[in-house]
Amino acid sequence: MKSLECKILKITDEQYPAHLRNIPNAPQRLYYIGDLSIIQKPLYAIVGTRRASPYGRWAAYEIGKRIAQCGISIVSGMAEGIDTCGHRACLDSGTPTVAVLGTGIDVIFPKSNTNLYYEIAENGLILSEYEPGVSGHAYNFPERNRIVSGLSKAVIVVEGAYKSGSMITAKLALEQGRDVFAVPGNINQPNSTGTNSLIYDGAGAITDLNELLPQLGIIGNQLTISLANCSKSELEILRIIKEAPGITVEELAVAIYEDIPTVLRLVNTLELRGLLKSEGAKYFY
Amino acid sequence: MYARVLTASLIGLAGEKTWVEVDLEQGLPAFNVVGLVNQSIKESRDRIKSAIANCGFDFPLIRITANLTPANRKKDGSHYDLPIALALLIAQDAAETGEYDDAFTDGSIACFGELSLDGKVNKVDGALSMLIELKNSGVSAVIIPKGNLSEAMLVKGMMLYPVETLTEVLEFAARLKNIASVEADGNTNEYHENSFPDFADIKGQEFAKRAAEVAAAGMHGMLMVGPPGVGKSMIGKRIPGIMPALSFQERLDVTQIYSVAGLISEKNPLLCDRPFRAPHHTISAAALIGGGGNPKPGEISLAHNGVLFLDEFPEFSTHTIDMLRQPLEDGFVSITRVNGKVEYPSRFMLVVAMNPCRCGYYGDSIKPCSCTESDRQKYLGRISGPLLDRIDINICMERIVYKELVEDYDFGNEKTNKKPRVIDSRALRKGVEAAFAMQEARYKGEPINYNSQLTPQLIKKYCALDEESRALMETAFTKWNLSARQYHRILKVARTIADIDQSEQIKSDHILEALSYRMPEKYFK
Ligand SMILES: [Zn+2]
Repeated sequence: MKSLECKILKITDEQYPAHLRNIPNAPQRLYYIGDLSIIQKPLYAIVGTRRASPYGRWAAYEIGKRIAQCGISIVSGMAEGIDTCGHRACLDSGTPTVAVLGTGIDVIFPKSNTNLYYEIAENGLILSEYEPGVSGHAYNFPERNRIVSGLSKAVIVVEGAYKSGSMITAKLALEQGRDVFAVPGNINQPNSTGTNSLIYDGAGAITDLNELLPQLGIIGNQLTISLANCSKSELEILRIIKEAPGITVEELAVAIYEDIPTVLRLVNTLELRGLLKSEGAKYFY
Repeated sequence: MYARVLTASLIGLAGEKTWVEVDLEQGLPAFNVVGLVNQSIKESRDRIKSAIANCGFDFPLIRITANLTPANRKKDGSHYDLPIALALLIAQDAAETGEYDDAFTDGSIACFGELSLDGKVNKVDGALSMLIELKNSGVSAVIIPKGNLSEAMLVKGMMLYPVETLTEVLEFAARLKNIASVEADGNTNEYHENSFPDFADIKGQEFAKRAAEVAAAGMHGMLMVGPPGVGKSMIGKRIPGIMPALSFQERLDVTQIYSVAGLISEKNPLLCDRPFRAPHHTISAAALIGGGGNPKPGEISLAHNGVLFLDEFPEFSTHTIDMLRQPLEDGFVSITRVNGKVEYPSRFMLVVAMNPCRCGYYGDSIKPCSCTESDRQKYLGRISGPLLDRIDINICMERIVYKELVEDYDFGNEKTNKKPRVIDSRALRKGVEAAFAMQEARYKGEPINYNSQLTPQLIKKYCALDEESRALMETAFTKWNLSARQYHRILKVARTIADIDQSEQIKSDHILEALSYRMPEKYFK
């Protein structure tokens, strides 16, 4: 293992962010690796289930990407699933990301995120309030979540069941006076019961990625995509995918009454131009 | 006293002309079989003894030596029973009143068959290969077990004497009684429309059907990933039905393998359809590849010229799957055994299916998945990368949620009068046949038959791209961070799509479609 420089941030230090100091039960001291300047202004948190669906991963990644492309960092818990997608989207966009661990700062959990850990150490910030060497306990994770929301201006819950860590994070965020947004999902998916109930209770619903940045209060810098060179059938495909994200090749073929090879050519052309994204057999805008 | 009788040996799929010599000498009673024989042949001594006694002959209580020549290869099998017994009876002049026909001892007539203790002649495995060899070496008449008659009829022009008992054979040899002979007509059943189920039965998986067409057209390996019940095995089962009909020679080749494996049906000895083999994931390496104690062709050889379908792919043992690699590459499998090496052909199309995760529902639109990320990685990690490199066509399948929509699609759009191509097995077979014809013409002077076998050098030669296609490949290469192997696989598949289109030039349209069959990064990185 590479040795990384680990330092300590005390609540009395000048660099301790004020917005974190003000939350109930603010951590007295934090171990950190990386660049502290990132957390001086409030960030956006992307949280959600470890058992994410492809839809959840897609949403976390796309939301994270749009925020990060404006140069704003994403904070999350470096868990599997949604957390990982949020960090990944941020790093892929060239923006540093912040991971708050539920373990000691030198303990990588889950192991599958070893690479991610080092990338964040290099291009971001890793935080933990636990002594080095402390391994993960289930009760650490909700406790850690108060720091994730404490560092944020708003918390975006992508997928989470009704009783889950993500719901605890949302509750803590509200107690801390942070905005909470949620991604709606199918009502038959347990992973969406939490997020849907958040929306029912008044959380901001993320319903259109094109409206995301204004909705989050982020202005400008938005990526504009040129549709100028698209053919009629390509525009038709884009319109359908926009209306029904997650549509399959067969469903597209039905919608435009074309042969499968024709549809495949169209979606691949569009994907190569960066106008849509595929996940297995499903297509997203 | 000495006599000899002609028979044949079986080495892998090949027959070999073999003489059985029997010599009787005065001395202590003994019965030895020599000539590099296996333990199993030594066991046949007991069968021969009982059979001779139970046919009412005396078993000579003197020193008996049976020799099988040539003795350079180990011999195995129970079909030497009949020639040894016959030579023994002739040597001791068992049929007292008869006069032996020279045809038996000069090699004009050969014989083989297993004896049961009561003197009955039982059918044997590999009869077809032995008869073909005997015919090629100039023998025109063979005594065979009646149970092998139907497959023997495939060896055109051979005079066959089907028998049921040892007594019949001896009486025939001694010119006491005749056996009704049959001349093999070479073809007992005409080719009929294949008996595979039709792709038209599958509703809504149009992408998978197209993928199956492309895969079959270039004999590409195919991987289907999708939750339980989306129709992966329905697709797999239908693939041999869209491949061109086997030629007579190919049918004979396949039949020989089944003959050696002892799997010939008496009613339809000559296999008509392309083989479809779908072994369960608990299968042993020996049963899949061939080999083991009593080496018989494994599933990969039984699938020769057809389809090997492996459902629940990650559940197969890693060791078993790794052993598939070499045969896939070579088109044959080489099995080493104590008494030498045998080769069985294994040119098959590999079709594998798997769930996206252990519980099966990752990404499903209805049922939630209960696996964690690490569960999923572990599940996918069971599949060996080198084998995935041999699979050119990869698709994800989704559950069809709206069946009505799909039926609507088949019907076409009333307003625009636009109607998509109807996809049934007949239509798909047309595409595959066109591609086979293109490949046959193209690869005449090459060591390969199908696009899936293209090597990087041959890809350079046969998959030249125009300007537009090259630019497209470059974009895809950087966009998806493709490896060189993936790049080659896409070109091979594009070659096949162009062949279905009967286009010698690979066009950008072909590349654009081929990109859809690449390995989904979502699953494998
Ligand atoms: Zn699962």
